[in-house]
Amino acid sequence: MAPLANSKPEFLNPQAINVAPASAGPDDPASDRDPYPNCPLPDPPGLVKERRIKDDGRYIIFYWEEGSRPHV
Amino acid sequence: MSELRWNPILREWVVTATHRQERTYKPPADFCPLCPTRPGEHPTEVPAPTYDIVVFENKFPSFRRQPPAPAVAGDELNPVAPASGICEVVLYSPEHKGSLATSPLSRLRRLVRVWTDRYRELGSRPFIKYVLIFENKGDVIGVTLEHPHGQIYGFPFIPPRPGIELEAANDYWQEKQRCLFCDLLARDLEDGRRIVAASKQYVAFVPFAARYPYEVHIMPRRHLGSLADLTLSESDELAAMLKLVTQKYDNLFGFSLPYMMIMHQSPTDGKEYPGYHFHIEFYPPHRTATRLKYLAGCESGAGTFINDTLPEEKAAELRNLAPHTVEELPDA
Repeated sequence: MAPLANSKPEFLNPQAINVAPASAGPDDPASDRDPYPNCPLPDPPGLVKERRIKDDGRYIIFYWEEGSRPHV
Repeated sequence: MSELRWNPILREWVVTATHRQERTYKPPADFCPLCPTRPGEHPTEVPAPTYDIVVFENKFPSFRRQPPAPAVAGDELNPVAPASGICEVVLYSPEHKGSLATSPLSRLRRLVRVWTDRYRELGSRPFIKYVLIFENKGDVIGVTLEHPHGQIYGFPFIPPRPGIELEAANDYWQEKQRCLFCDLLARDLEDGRRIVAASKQYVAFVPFAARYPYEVHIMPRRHLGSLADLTLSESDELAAMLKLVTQKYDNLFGFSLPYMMIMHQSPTDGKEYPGYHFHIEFYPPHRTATRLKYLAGCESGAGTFINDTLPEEKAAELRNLAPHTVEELPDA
């Protein structure tokens, strides 16, 4: 939703709000699958990140120091 | 249920998140949901026998990537919107006990890089306009889980307090083509009385108009808008300054001092904020070892803080506590 033209600062304008593309879906964890399954960004310097999806659809990201990741 | 309800009188959003009433409340250490899932023991939020630093979506979020439909219909006077956004939990360590003050510096350096990665990733999502990285620490703050952790809220709007800062910074920038924060920092450094600690790239100080007796801000000397603008050297030195300030806090009264820590960064709405300056704010509620600063009638009802202390005196107290410089910290 694009902000409306308004002389007020943006944060004082209720129209200046963004909504996720598939908003207003049912409140069902099964529908809450991660729309970004692959991280779009490279690993942070010196770290390796591993992204997983939990049973209930929430994502979890493990950050390990390079070379220290155990076998899990 | 969760939704955003607009208060047209205060011109602010309120998040209703009724499911948060059911969130885990002070479980015994044996059943900490933030510890690793050890073989043969109860499953936790982290399905692995160990980890270093972990980020996951909050089980009881205030904002969701795919939020439910609001419980009530809004109208022109009372707008309502889906509580769209992302809420993450950041686990600092697999150890159940600990804090920023007690963590090895090497761990804090990794943590700053993780925070930076989260700011970049959440900020890159089109529906996230503001990334708020924060930590609530201590029972008196209302923390429900003892395990060292922080949180990240990806807001679908710019929240009011950063919004006020952005407006002030933008007005100053437009008028003087200078950064308001840089000018205030230069004045504080020249004055010296409110400086708590300084390093090559950062300054920690009690602000001139501090709201809390031991409020401390950490600000980079270089003008930059967010964690994403830090060089690697600045990122690592920020870790050291965080450790220094939190160790001073713990040495203040001889116990691990509760606080709220909030990172104020440029919004991620795709616009330019040349006049904004990244910084971290700490609000410890203690005004003495045994007395707290409450947000009572004047603060909550009028929005005006009463500070029972002089920032110059509180800064001197903190300045005189060890450690005094980041060079004193063990490099581990």
